[in-house]
Amino acid sequence: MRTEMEVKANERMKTAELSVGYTSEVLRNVFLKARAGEILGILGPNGSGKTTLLKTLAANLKPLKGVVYVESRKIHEIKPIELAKLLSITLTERVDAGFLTGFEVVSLGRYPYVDAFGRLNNADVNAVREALKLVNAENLANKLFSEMSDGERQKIMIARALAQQPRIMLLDEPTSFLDAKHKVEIMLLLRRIANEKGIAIVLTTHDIELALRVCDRVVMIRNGKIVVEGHPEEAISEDVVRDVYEIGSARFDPSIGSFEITGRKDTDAKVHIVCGGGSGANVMRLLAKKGVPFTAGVVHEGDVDCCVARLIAAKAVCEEPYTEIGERAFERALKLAKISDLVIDTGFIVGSINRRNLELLNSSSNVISLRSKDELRKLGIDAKSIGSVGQLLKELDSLLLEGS
Amino acid sequence: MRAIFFALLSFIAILSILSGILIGSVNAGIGDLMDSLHGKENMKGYIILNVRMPRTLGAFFGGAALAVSGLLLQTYFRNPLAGPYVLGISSAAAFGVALYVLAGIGGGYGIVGSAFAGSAIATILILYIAARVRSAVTLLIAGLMLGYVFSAFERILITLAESERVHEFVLWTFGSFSGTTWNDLRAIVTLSIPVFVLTFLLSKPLNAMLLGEDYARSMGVDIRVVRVTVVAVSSFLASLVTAFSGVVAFIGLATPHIARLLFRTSDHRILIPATILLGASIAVLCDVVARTLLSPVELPVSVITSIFGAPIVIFLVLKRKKV
Repeated sequence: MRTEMEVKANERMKTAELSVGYTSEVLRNVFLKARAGEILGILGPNGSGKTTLLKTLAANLKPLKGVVYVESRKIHEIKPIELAKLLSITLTERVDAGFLTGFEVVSLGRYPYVDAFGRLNNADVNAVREALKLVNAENLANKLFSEMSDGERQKIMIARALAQQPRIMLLDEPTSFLDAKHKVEIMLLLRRIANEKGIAIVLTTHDIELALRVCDRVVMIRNGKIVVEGHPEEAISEDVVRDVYEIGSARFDPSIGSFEITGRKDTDAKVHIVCGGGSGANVMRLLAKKGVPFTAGVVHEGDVDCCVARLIAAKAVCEEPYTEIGERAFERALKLAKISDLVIDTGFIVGSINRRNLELLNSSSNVISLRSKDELRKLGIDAKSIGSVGQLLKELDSLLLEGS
Repeated sequence: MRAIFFALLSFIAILSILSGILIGSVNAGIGDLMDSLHGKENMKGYIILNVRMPRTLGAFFGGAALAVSGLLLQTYFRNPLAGPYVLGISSAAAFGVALYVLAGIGGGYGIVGSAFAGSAIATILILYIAARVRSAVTLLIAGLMLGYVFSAFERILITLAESERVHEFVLWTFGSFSGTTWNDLRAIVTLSIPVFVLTFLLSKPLNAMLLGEDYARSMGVDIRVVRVTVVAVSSFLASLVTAFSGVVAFIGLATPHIARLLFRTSDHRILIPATILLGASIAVLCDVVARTLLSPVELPVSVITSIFGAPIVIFLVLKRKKV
C-alpha cells in the first residue's frame, strides 16, 4: 500500500471544480488527476468538449471556473517558458511545417531550453536524438516534414513533445486519421513513454477500444459532465458505452473490447449457427453485416463465440463454462436448429465438453459445413462441405431468394 | 551547399546593382562609374551619381524590405498567399495619397508624407486589433476588410476628382523606384537596416510559429508579443517602401517562395538573409527591365514584377509546393 505522501508525489496534474468553454460552459465540475507513468484517457463522443478541456489543461484556454494544478502549482501562475518544460501538447490539427526536416521539427521542442537564437548545444542534440529514437523515427531525421505520411508526422510531433522533456504530455486524439499499423504503433509508443519515462499522459479519444487497451484510467464525458471515472476495465461497461455514445445498432462487449454490429432481430431467424472456440465469431459478424437473422448455440460462456453471439444473434444458447452440454441447452439449441432453414457448422474443434454439438448437427437437416469432406466423413456428419466465405455467401443468397 | 548559394546570391546582388547603375537610355561602362566615383564631372557622371545610384539602391532596399515583410506575414498567417499588403497597408497608403493628390487634403510632406500617414493609420488600427484577437485567421480577415474600407474611400475620391489628377494618382499606384533621391535613400537605409536586424533576431520564435500559434504557445512563445511585433515590423517595412515608391506588386509575395525552394528550408535564420538578398536583386533587375524594355518609355515596375512573379505563383500552386 502506498502512503498518501507517495501518491501525492506521483500526482502531476490535478483539476478542481473546473469549468471549461470558450464563452459558454461546455464542461463543468471536472475533477481530474494525472499521475506519473499513467495514461489518463478522456473519453466521449465527438463534440463533447474533450478538446476544449485539453486546451484548458494546456493553459491555451482560461478556465471559466476552477483551477488546473501542475505539480501542485496553479497553472496560470507558471511562466509560459517554465510551463513548456513541464507540459507539452500534441494537437489534432494537421501541421504543415513545409521545408523542415524531422530533426528540425523535433528540435523546435527544445524551444524553452535553447539560447535566444535557437542554437542547439550537445545536450539539446542528445535530447532530440533520444526523442527520435523513443518513437522509432531515427530514419525520419533527414526527411522533409512535408513529404511525410500522416503516421510519420504524428510520430515526429510526439517526438517534438518529448524533446520538451516534460513531466506531463497532453495529446488530442493521437490516433485519429491514422491507419491500423500506425494506430497500433502510436498506442505502443505512448505506453512505452509512460512506462519508461514515467511521464504522465493525458489523452482524449473517441475510440473506446483504444482507451481500453492503453489507458490506466479513464473518464467519460457526456452532456457536459463526467459520468464515469475509474479503471477502464471497470469503467467501460456495456451500459456506460451505450449511454454515452447512444448507439442502437451496435453493441459493446468490454470483455472482448470491441463493438459488434447487432444482427436483425425483428424477423424469425432462418439460420442457426453451431460454433465454439472462436470459430463462429466471424461467420456471425458476416451474417449480421448482411442482415441475415440468425440464432447460435450451443456455445460455452466465456468463449468469444458466446460473447459475440450474445451481442448480435437473435437468440444464443449458452452453457456454463467448462461443463458438458446439458440436456436443457441441447434441447433449446435443437429446437432453434429445427425451425431454421439452414444450419451452419463453423468447423469448431470437438472436445469432451462440446461433443453434443455433433449430435446437434446430425439431428438437423440442411447443414452446411466449413470443414473439409474428409473431416466430415471422419466425424460422421452428414453435411455439405463449403470451402470459402464466398461459397457461404452464395448459399445464403439462394436461401434468401427462396424466402422472398 | 548553403554557403555556395549565399555566395551566389551575393554575387547576383552586386551584379544587379552594377547593371542598375550602368544600363539605361544612356549607356555607361565600369570606367564611367569609376570616373564618377573619383569626382570627375560630366553628364554621365551626373546621371550615375544623382539618378541611377539612388534609384538602384532605393530599389535594392525597397525590394529587400518588401520581401522580408512578405516572409513575416506568410510565416505568421501560415498562408502562402500572404504578402506585405494583406493587412491593408497599400490601400491605406493609396488613400493617403488620394487625399493629397485628388482632394488636396494634408500632405505637409508631399506624396511621401501622405502615403506614410495613410499606412501609419492602418498600422495603428491593425495593431489595435492584433493585440486583442485570439487567432491569426481573425486578424487576417480584419486586415483584408480594412483594406476594402480604405479602397472604398479612395474610390469615392477618384469618382469626385478631376481626370488629370486621377492620372497622376494612378501612376503613383503603379509603383516606381524612379525619383528616389539621396535624401530618400538615407531615410530608407537608416530605417530599414535596424528593422532587418530585429527581424533576424526574431528567427527563433518565427521558426516555432511554423507549427501554428497553439504549438508555439505551448513551447513557451509569447504569441501576443510575436504577433504584435510581426504586424508592426511587416507593416512598417511595407509602409516605408510604399511611401517612397508606390505600390510594388509581387516581390513581397513571390520572393519568400523562391528562397524556400532554393534553400529547401523554412528555417528563418537562413530565409531572412536569403529573402533580403533575393528581394533586393529581383527589385533592381525588374527596375532595369522596366526602364529599358520600351525605352525611352518607362514601364511601371509592378508590370515587370507581376509578369515575373505571377508565373512563379502559378507554378507553385500547380506543384502544390508546401510552404
